Amino acid sequence: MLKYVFHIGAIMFSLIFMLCMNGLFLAHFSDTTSYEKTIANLSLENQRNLLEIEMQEIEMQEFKQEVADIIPEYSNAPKDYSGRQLASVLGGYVNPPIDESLSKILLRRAKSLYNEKDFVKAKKALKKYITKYPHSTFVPESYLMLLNIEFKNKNYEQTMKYIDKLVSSYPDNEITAYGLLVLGEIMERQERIEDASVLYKTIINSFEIKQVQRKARKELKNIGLDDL
Amino acid sequence: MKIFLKAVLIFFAFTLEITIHAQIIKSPEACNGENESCVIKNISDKTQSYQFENMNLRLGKGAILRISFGELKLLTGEFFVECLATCMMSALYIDKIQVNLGSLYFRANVHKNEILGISGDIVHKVKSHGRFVLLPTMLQTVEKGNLLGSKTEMPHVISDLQIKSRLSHLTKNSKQLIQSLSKQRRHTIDALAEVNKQIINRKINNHKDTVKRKKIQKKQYGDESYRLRLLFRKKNSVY
Repeated sequence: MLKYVFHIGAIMFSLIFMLCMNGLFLAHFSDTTSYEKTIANLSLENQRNLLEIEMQEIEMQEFKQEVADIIPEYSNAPKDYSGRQLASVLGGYVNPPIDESLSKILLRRAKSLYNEKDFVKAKKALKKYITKYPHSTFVPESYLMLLNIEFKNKNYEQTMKYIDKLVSSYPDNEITAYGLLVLGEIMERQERIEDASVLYKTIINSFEIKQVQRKARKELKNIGLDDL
Repeated sequence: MKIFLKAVLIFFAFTLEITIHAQIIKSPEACNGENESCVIKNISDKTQSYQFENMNLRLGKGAILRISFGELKLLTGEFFVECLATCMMSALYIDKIQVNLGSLYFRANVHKNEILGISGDIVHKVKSHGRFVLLPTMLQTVEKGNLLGSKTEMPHVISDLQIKSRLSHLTKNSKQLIQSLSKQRRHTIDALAEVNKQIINRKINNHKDTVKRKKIQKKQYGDESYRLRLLFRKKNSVY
């Protein structure tokens, strides 16, 4: 009797073992778990973005409420200019922070594409961002990513166009300095050593950013014109 | 046989895969709410529980709250708040909510806040409208205002059906709660009637006072006018 029980147990164990192994095998080779994880992560990221947008609206309402609380103390019917300006925030349907938040999401997506080296999609996303939000504070950064993509694709002419845009629109921006360093590298590749040397010296003199100055000095040393 | 079972159990333990699905998200992620401000949201389709100091909170689908330097602010969505001691919180249009050993239901969106007393002592303050005491089954709505701040009216008592529609998906023991609220409704109505009576009496007295004051003022004005006329006539010998 004990022998039979043992046999049945052994058969059941083997069956369960086989089923589990089959499950593990399928799970391992079908790669569904990794997709599930990716979907879960993306969904979580999406929820975070949604929360960010909702909070922008709530914070705007909080601000309006604070103004509404202050105004009666200030004056029930504000007649002077400053009073009217303060009261004007209570009305209107346009919500600039939401737009700002959306712009951040778009830029974040473009950045992640850039970091994943999906340059075709990143280029498209960055161009879309610059067209849609031309006054955003992140436009120089977008131009830098775009010029880096073009530089990596050895499309020097387009790279120089982006650098030109940076120099003309954001001459004092730190990012412009990084753009100019790329221009120096292009000049080196085109064997315009003297032009590159002048450019590096200009960068050192114009931008007080240690990292940039160090890089420019290093490049000057490499081309053998480090007489600074 | 025992060894066999143990082996099976161990085997299963190794093949188990634990997947954690996020139900509540925090922003920023590693935020404790004591030294900084953090936002909490229920991202699941079901009601979720959340504990904060001496409060048990039930967060409805999509409910958002903020903990800022140890202070709780209910922002949007539905909440069932249970206080085990004295708790303080606020909302977008309610400046202060104080609950002492009790519970409340709260619903909010960016235009309106709604607060329903369930049990215990609940007092809340709306700027430029003063303090309100909420007894069980009493509901008050505070709306987004204009230049004069938030808009609100006196709290009113709501029916079992209205309470059920609010609580059924938030708490597991909504049936018992509704039953107990049903018993307390009579007392709340009486108390509310008394408060309303006092307010109306105060208004009537105020009106009476105003009428009396105006009558005195009118008489004083008439007397003064008569005195001046007499003085004028005497001075100019107009008789």
